[in-house]
Amino acid sequence: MIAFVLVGLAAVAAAVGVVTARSTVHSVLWLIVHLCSLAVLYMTLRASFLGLVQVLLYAGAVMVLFVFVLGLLSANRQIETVPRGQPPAQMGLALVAAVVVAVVLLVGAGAGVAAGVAAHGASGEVSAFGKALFGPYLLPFEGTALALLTAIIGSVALSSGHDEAMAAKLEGETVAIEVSHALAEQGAAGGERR
Amino acid sequence: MSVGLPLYLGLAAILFVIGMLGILLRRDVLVLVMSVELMWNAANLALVATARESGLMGGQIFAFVVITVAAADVAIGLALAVLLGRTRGTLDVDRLHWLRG
Amino acid sequence: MGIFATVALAAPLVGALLLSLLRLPRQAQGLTGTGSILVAFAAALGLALTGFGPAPGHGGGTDLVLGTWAVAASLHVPLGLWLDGLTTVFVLVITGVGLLIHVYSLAYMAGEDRADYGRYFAGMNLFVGAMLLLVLADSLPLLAVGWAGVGLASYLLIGFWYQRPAAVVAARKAFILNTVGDVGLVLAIAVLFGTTGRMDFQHLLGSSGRQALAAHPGAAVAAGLLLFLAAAAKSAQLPLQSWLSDAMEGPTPVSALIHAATMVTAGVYLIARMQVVFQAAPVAAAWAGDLGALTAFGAATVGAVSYDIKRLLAYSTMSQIGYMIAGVSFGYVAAGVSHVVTHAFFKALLFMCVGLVMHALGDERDMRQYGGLARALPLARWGFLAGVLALSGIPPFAGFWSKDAILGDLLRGGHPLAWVLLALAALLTPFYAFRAYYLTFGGERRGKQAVHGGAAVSLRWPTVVLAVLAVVGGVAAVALQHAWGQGLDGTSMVLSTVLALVGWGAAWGLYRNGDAAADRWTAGVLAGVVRAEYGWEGFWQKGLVNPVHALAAGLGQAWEGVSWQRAQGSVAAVATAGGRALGLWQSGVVRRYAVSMSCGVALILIWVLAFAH
Repeated sequence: MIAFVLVGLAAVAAAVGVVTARSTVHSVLWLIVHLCSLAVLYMTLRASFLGLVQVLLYAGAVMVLFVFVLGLLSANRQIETVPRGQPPAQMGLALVAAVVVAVVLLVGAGAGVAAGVAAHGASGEVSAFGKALFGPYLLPFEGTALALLTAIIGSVALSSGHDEAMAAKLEGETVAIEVSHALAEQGAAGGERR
Repeated sequence: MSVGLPLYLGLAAILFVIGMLGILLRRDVLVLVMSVELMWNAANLALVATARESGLMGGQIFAFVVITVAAADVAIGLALAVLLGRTRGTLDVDRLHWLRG
Repeated sequence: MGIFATVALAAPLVGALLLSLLRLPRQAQGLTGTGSILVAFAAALGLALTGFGPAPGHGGGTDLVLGTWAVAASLHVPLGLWLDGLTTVFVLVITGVGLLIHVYSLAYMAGEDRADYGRYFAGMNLFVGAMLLLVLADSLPLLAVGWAGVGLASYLLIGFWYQRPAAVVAARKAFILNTVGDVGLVLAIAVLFGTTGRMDFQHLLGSSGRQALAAHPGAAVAAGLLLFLAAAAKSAQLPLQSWLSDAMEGPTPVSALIHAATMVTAGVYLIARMQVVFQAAPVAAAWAGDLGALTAFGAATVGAVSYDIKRLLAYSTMSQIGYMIAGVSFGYVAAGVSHVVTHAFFKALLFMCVGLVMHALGDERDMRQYGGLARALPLARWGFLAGVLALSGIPPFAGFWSKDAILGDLLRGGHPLAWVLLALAALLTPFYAFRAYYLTFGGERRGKQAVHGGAAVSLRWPTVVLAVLAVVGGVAAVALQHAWGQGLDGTSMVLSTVLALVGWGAAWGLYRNGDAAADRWTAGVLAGVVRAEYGWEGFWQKGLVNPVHALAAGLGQAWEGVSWQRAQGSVAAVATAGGRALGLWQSGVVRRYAVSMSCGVALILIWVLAFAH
């Protein structure tokens, strides 16, 4: 119980840190803390393998990727302040939606008690996990391999070469779109005049 | 003593909403991607907790799949961010609005 | 037993796949195409020897379940094979006669280049495979797959010479008319499923299906008529018969396959298989049977005045299938199915002999250009004679035993209209058959083409085998009838013999010299009308095609005539305003999208919490 409270608080604090940090680097660091605390929670839930994967894959590899990208982009990044330039109506709507979601989810979490879900021991051992993964869930597991492959191909296709050409193309598209917007507004205005 | 399912689900809910607020309030593409990660992880926590509660392995496996998909999602998201940073010179989503209809 | 059936079904399909996917050399193509059918025939023999299966009509049979196709609520469609006597007979005929036709094709299609040769055998294998699936299926949906496959294969093969416009038109016509039948089949399946709640033969043909159909006579009649519509399209019966005579645009072995082993017998099989429906719906059975008998008579009259020998054989097929349909519709499965067997023998034989004649005369099909071929083409002559004798129902040749069984059953069973029509057809059959024989082989040579005698080995021996079967195949028919509990009837046999001999006598009197002058009467106006299938085509053209065209043209003019300018303007205005309003939503600002999405999520969650318990 104590462990849950401590680690849970750490996770919440880290999550708040991710969202509120001014510097993106700080956000990344907070995210790492958050992921590691979740890993600890997984361990307490007898999902030790998932906890390990969380640390190795998520807090390790994925976060390194984040830091790497930050380094790549740092040259022309502007620091953004929170929250700025947001129309108040939109802002209010966003907060209302967030509060509603939070309330409903929390009520739903409480409803778990009302439903009387019986807590009984589950073997979260790695061997059971492995047997399930390569047994009944083999096909989804293979599916994740396919998803990763797709992601690799996608990111290679997105970031490989042709920067100049791509930039020119995107710029051209933007110009074309802006021109078409201008024309459309003109046309609309003209239509009203008529 | 062991901690009940509602507490874990409640924690997951709080984390999910924090991630959601991040998406709603922040403008940096990288922070948005990280907020999405927060939401993924909140869902994962709920899955793992429910798996423990029901004694079924499916929840853990699903969480595992979610981690994989999230990794793929980060790879694509960051590639897009790099591309945007290079071609547009900005990662501010409010300025990346050429999707306007 | 199960393994034999599976192999018999798989071999032609595998053959078709190999032939269509691989670029095989010519010999390998012929070997694959024919070999797969040989394997299938061997498996069919194994199937027949290990367990012939019970007589149809009593719901008995073995369901060889290979898997499950579809399960949804109360719908359960198995994927398997249904084995009983009816299936075994059809599998034997399809693979046996199919094998002979494939062997015949080896030399007959030798003139085609490599790619077309492979395409031909791929189509033929697909045809046989689809037909086997049709007769082996253990549920109506699976049967429908085979049914559609047969239609597809026939389209591919009738239109084999796709450079010829006539072949393309004929293929399209066959496909369209068959699609009408497919609709009937699907609707029939729907009606049967709605009535009995099942689609598999195990239940449909058993006592539960019987009871459900007995409890809903209206549904049974509807299902029966729809099944007959399907059978009429596949088997070229009134009112959907007209594709068969045009289907002669395909290569002659294809015609042999369509007429003898596959395709047109599918309708007979369907009605024989679904006896349970026709027993519960005597009205539907009467319609089906009487229309079949009417087709038998009508087609025989058209055949009597045809000049094109392949069209003559096509009308003869329609007529003979009419016998079978009449037989099985009224519940005389043994007689009807035994006629399928004998007809397969002699009709394949007749087509092979016509193929020999056409090969020798440069694809000439007009009998007025024939004559005096007896000496030049002895094999074709004797083979054709055997086929004609069997077709005419002269005892003791094959056709007599089965045709007489149908006539005798109808006479005893009290179906006077069908019997009279079929008896008239039995009178006409020897007339047109021997007219074709005398005009082709008797008398003097009329055409100018040179005769290239001598046929390849693979053309010869299938013809010989089938000629033997046409002579002695009656044994198989009688054995089958005996096994399925039907005896011989002396009175009817005498009557049938007299009818056949009278028809032969008329032909002999007119044509025995093989003199074209004797055929002058067919140039008359009345004969012309008959030859045009009584204007049936015109009826469709005037009654259906032209009105639809006129309607389309009229609607088009009416549409154009309306002043659309204003309407267009207002439509455009609405679209523009709507687009602008919706465009506000599409701000392009990601966070605004995120807010919209979050509000949606919130609403859904509220709904879930409040109402979804």
